[in-house]
Amino acid sequence: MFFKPEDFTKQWQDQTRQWQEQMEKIFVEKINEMIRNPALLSAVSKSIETSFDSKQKANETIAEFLQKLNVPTRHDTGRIMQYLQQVEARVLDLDEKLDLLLDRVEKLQATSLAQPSIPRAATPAPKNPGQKTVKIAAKKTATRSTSGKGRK
Amino acid sequence: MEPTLNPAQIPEEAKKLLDQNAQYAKILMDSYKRTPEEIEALKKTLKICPTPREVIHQECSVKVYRFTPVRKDLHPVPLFIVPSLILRWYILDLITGHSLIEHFVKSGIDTYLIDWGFPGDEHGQLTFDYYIDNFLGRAIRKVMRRTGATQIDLMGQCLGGTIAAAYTSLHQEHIRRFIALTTPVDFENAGLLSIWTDKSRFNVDKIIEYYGNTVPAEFIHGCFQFLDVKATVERYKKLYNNVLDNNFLYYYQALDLWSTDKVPFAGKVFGKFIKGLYQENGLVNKTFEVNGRYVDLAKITCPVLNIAAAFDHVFPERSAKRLNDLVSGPAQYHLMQTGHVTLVVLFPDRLKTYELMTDFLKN
Repeated sequence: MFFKPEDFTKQWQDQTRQWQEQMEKIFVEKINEMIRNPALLSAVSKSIETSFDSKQKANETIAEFLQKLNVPTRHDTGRIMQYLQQVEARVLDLDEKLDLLLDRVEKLQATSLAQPSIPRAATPAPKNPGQKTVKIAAKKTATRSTSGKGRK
Repeated sequence: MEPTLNPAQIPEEAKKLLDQNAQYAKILMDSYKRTPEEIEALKKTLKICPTPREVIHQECSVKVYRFTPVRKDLHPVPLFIVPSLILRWYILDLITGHSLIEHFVKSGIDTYLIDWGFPGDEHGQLTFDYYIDNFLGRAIRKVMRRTGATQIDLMGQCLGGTIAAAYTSLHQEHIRRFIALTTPVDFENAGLLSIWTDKSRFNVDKIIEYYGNTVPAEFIHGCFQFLDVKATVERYKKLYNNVLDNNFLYYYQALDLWSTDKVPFAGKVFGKFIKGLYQENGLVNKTFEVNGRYVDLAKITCPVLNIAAAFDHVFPERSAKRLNDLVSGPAQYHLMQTGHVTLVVLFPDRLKTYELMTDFLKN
């Protein structure tokens, strides 16, 4: 036989593989050169900016049209979302302050409980009944403790 | 697998080749564009993010997770992780056995993580300063109040590390130890991204003016394929050659899902990221400002563990290494012979990374 089919197959595969590897190497080299080429990068940046300008004009026209129809634009909904974000941030600030305040109340309560009790007769009568305030604070602390304060 | 032309095998081989091509085309088409619902469904199928967790704090799209401890003898200092803003956090908890977070939890470290989520229009007014001082600051304070700890350990990955470093320099009193994982701090000559964002040609104001509240993920991620062209070509070749191997396919799809789950950038945050870090190299030149205070990394006095990747295609090694020169505290530097992502997912390198971090936190 002039040649075996297996040899032909192997030769063909080797050739193909070599060709593929060569092509791949050239491709990677050329792309790497291109993406570092300052002139090309400047041209790409300019074309992006130009496309932004034309798209911006189109967006403005659409926004004007929607405004005339009394339909909120994306800008309008964005403003509402931003307002909500501000409200949420404010609530979280207050929540944090409340947490700190309740911690201090807890500490104060713990300190007052740890002190030796004073005979009842010697205690001056409070001008404003403070007992009620302490009870409310204690109740609030208990509620917040169950909602995740302290390591579980 | 290689196609052969042995006449006796042609029908079988041809069938296999057809299967291979069809499967390859299907996977490429699937990963080209996925809806959020498809991403969530695929996450469940592939069992991504396997470590159980609960949300302990939320603000806008930002959530703070606590990973459910599995040991009673918890390390006394909680660990707070700041992932990158550019991609999703779950590369740190990819799949069972390939998860840094799972490793921390099993090591008895009380682990918390901030998930930046997907910024929407409500983020339009938010600045980088807000991200550092408010989102991150509030989250860290929440964890401290919750655990009763006066200090926490902070770990930042990729750009999250840059944010964490800025936070540590401004609030050193809150941080006991700091881990930087492939974290860029020196943005001068910091690879291709610094060439592309050069101020002579990259007009960031124009981009923000056009996009407004958020810079879409496609704009940012379109260029990522070109950061390492050879690796991109290799990736597709490897997929083609192994596309009928289910085991390979599982890991490929998990990583591919993560890399295609793209996150947009809040407009003003993107602006400061490019201008303050890439164009002005603010952390090295001490010009990076957060709510009127300059970030000075020399104010980091706690022990620092800095881990960089030798084949990092996103931020070159020198960009991360510089952190050790800038901080005042005792700093360790470890260079892993891996890439930016493989550092935390590839066997066996990931195990060394995990151990380095656990030892640093516990000893």
